[in-house]
Amino acid sequence: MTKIEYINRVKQHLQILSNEERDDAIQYLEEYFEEAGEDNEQQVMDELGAPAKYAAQIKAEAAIKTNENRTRNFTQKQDSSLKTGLMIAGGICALPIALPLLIAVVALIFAGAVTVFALGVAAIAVAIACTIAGIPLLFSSFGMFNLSFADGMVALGASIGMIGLSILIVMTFVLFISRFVPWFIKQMSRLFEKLKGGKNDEEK
Amino acid sequence: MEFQLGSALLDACVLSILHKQDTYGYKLTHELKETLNVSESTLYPVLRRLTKENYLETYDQEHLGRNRRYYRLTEKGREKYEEYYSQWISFQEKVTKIMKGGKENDED
Repeated sequence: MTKIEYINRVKQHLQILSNEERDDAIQYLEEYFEEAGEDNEQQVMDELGAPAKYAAQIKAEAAIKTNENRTRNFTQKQDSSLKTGLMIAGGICALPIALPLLIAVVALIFAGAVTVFALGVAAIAVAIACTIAGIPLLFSSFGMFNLSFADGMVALGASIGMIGLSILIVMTFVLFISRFVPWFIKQMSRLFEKLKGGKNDEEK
Repeated sequence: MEFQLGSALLDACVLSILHKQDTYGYKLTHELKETLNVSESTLYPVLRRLTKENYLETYDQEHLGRNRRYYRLTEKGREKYEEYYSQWISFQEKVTKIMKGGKENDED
C-alpha cells in the first residue's frame, strides 16, 4: 500500500464526517507523511495502523464532540424563552380545568373543617348538658332512695353515667385538640406548599 | 511503561509542550513519544478536540515549499496548562509519598 492509497482509504472511512472535519483530518495526515519523508512512508503506515483503525479513532473523537454539542444545544433549548412561552401557554390552557378543580378542593376542605367543627360543638353541648343534668340528679338521687331503693339506684346510675360521659367527651376533645389540630395544620400547609410549588413549575 | 496514560494526562502533556513553543503535529508526536508510550495515531484526535474546546488554535506556515499547520495555546489553553500543572505537582507528590513509604520498611 502506498501513501496515497492509505490516505484514500482513511478518507473513505471518514465519509460520515462533515467535509470540514474530514478535510482537516486528511490535511493533517498528508502533512504527517510529508514531515516523515518519502523514505519513511512504510514505517509511518505501520505506526499509524490500519486505515480503518486510524479513521475509527478520529470518528470516535468526532462522535463524542457531536454528542456534547447536542447535549449543550438541548440544554440551551430547555432554558430558552420558547420553552417558557410554551409552559405559560400550557398553564393558561389548563386554567379552565385547573381553576374549578382548585375551587372544588378548597370547598371540600372547607366542608370537612365545618363538619369537624360542628361535631366538636355538638360534643361540647352534650358534655355541658350531661354535666348540668347529671350533677343535680346525683344529689337528688340520694333523696330518691327514701321513696324507693330501685328509683334511687336508677337515678344514681344515670347521674354517674352522665358525668362520666361528659368527662369522656372533654378528655376526647382535649386529646383531639392537642393531637389532631397540629397534624391537620401540618397537612394543610403541606398541601398549600404543593399547590404553590406546582404553580411555580408552571410559571418556569 | 505500565502506568496508563489517561486522556487528561495526555492533554496536559500536549499543553505543556505547546506552552514552551508552538509546534506542528509531526514534531509534537515525536516529542511526546520520547517519554510516553503513545501511538502516532492518537494525537490527531487529541489536537482536534483541544482545538474545538478552544484550548488551541492553528495557523499555517510554509516550510520548504509545503505547508505546516502549527498549533499554539490560546489564553484559555494557558490557563488550562497552569491548572494541570498545579494539579499534577500535588498529585505526583502524594503518589511519591505513598510509594516512598514502602521503602521505609527496608530501613528497619
